Amino acid sequence: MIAWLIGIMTLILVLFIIWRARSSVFRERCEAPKFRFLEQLGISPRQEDNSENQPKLQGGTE
Amino acid sequence: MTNTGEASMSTNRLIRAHTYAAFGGLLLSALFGLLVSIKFDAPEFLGSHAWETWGRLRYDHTQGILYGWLGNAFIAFLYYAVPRLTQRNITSSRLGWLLFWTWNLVAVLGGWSLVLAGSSQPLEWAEFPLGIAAVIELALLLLIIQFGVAFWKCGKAELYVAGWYLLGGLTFTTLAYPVGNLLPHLLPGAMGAAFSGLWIHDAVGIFVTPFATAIAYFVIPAVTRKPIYSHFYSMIGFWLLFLVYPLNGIHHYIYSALPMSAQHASEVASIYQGVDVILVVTNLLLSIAIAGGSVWLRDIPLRFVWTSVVLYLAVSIQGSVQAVMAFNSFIHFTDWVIGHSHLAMIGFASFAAMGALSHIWQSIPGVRMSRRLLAWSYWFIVVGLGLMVIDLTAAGLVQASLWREHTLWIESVRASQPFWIFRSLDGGLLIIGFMMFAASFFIGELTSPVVTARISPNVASCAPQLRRTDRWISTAYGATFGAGLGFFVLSFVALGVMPALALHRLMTRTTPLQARLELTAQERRGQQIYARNGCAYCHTEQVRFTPADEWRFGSPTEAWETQGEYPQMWGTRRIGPDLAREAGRRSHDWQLVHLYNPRFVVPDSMMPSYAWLFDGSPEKPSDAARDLVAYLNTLGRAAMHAQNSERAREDEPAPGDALVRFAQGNLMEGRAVFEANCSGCHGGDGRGKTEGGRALRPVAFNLVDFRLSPDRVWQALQRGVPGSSMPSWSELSEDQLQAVATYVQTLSQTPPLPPDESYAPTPVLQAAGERVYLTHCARCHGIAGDGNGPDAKAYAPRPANFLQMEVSYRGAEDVIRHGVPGSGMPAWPLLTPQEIQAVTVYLRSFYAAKTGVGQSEPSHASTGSEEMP
Repeated sequence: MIAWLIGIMTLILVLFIIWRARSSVFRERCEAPKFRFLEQLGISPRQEDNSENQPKLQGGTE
Repeated sequence: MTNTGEASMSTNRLIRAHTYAAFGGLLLSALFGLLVSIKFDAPEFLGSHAWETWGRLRYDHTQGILYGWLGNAFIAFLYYAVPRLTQRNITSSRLGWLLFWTWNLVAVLGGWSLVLAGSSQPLEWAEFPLGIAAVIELALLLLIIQFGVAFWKCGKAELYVAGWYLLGGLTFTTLAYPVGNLLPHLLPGAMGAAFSGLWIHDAVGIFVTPFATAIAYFVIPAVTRKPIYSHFYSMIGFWLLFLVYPLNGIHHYIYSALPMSAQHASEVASIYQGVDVILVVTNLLLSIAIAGGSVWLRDIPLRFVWTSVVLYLAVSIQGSVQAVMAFNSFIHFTDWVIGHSHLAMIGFASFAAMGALSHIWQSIPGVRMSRRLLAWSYWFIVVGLGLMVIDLTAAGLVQASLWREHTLWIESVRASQPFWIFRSLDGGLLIIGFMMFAASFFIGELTSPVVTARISPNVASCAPQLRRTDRWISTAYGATFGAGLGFFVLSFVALGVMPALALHRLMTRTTPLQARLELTAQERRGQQIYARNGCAYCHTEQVRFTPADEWRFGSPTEAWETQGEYPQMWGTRRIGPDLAREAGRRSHDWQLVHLYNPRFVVPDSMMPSYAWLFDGSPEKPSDAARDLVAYLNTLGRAAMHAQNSERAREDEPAPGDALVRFAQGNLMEGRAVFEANCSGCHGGDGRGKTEGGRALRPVAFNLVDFRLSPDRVWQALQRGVPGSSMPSWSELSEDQLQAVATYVQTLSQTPPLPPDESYAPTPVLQAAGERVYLTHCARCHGIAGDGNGPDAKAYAPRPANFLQMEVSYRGAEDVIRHGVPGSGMPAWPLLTPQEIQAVTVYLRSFYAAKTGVGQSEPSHASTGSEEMP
């Protein structure tokens, strides 16, 4: 049973990963909170950030 | 002043209050820990009053760290972080102060005081008594009201991962807390252990870990001023944590009587958990790496945080490895696990909390902070923790190795002592570090608000331009949160309810018909004393299904045996031996003497004295001491009765080649074994006149004035002496048994009679002795002198068998004049010296006839005397 549980939740997370890989909108939206968080702290996230999925919020989707 | 400004000031006051309370919790809990550690090295340290018993201090140490230190630090962080994450204020500052006083005055101080006063429960990470547990549950609910509303009002799609961790931590802790605190009181033994296991892990996995991880996700971008590497993978890590962590619980009871399917499940989940932590830590460390620069070295709070992240990886991988059954069978119950838990609670959780508090403090206006002292505290704590973990890990490996060898338990205690001394020194270093950390908040320059303090909570909404477009992500997150709750319930069902039901069916099917499982009122009282004083934290009450356990302690603990345990006291650490098979192993008076002062009967014991259970002497036990011993004699009683038919008869002859093997004993080794294990009762000289030996009933055997035959010595060593305090020493190796048996023979000084020429052993004297013997002794000792007289069966221990014992005049006189307290042998004060001499001659004739040793021949040590120094 536990194997099933772990299998199901892994499957759900894999689906999320596939979704993210195929959808630029999803990717962008998923990463948006980390930039908003910095804004809330009074820090402007810079465009030259090397983090994954740089913010292109101002420019819309990739 | 605006409402926002007032709210901010009010929140700052709450942050300061919880920070100060956290310092108090940290320092006092660490002090409790240091005292506990010192008591390993000096068991009588600080005297022996009830309130400073090792077990009570141990309870306060861990509960103080969890609630007094980490709880306050996390709440302070919540007050700082939640308004910034949600852009909303907390619910109410008045509620905040109610929460503050409830948490600290009632839960922490009340809990500590009650534990020291003897009111507690023997459940790991749930030691505060049930009343306090109820207050903590109430406080957790208040925390949800205080902070959950802000989260609820904020759109899910916009919520940063740190917020998710905080929300998850609050929600799941509130759900999991009653599982570990209440259910073990309602479900017996093994059934309750399944739920205890859940909470043991949830306390760390669902309370501590989410808050510590939230701190890392908050502080790293705040200090580096760069976003984290991947928010998506941070969310994957978040959900894996909450889905997998609760499934780990039963890995604390591997090889136990719990259903093997549940044990395997927890093993798989534990490994999976390690994978999740690799994902989380990689994301966090990449977040620091991509930020570049040297801020990760310069900023001390960030240094605390990334150290916490690195140690999170180390402790999680360690935890996953420990859950693998093959390794678990080796390492479980040792100090390795204590090293692991310190790495988790100091290395991971406390470093995160210290990073959070020091980061927050910089944004509180008008307070002081000494960065220099903070930096020094970091190094003290890093070095102290590093040394402690290395020390305890090494100690664990040594203990595990010795437990696998067929050596006495006390050998592992002796081998651990240098490590325990070193641990106390490490602990001292840690406390200095903690004091420096706390002091750094009171000295140095006055702070001024930094950039993060300029934000204005209570804004109208969370980024409305995103809310419209991200409704579907919100839905997905919401569904995942619901799934998380569902999985939590499933973990509860899969690892708690289902094993409990399976155990119930198993118990019903396997309980022997006449098993005596119910405890008497006295035994119940003893159980309470055992529980409240933390005995289960050194002595497990479960023999695991491992060869090492079965060899050392006997048959593994089965579920049906545990039906009388409310709550279970299986334990997760062995400092002393397991007690699950204690019933009948030791006499009542041995247990009492051992409780009064363990070193009276086990010279190298590090168990603390429980002299406060006595009225100044081991012979004057209080009712509580008697109750406790009565309880000890229930441990394994049901199993013992069930196996009665298989027990060897006490009078079964010793191995036939005992005499031959005797001659091969090494006297040097024999003396060492004797001094280490036997001298507590029998005394260094073998006369049994030690304080402990005299307090036993019957008193310890005098090995000098009575010579036991080799086969009797062998029999006593192998099987103990029923009815006396002499236990079986079958844990000794064959070589050690031979050596100590040979050495015992050399102690005997049974010179030929007479002390006075006029009483030479003549036929006349022997005939006179026979008359005395038949008149006074034969009813118990038997006409043949073999201890099988008509009245013999009424006594335990059985009357002496003179075919196996050579008696000296001095020994006979002592016993005849004074009797043997605690046995059936009375004093015979009216016998004259001549009669004593005569009966001694007669008694010796039994031994002479049996062994062929002439009465008139001088009696010497049989062998190996050339090896004596």
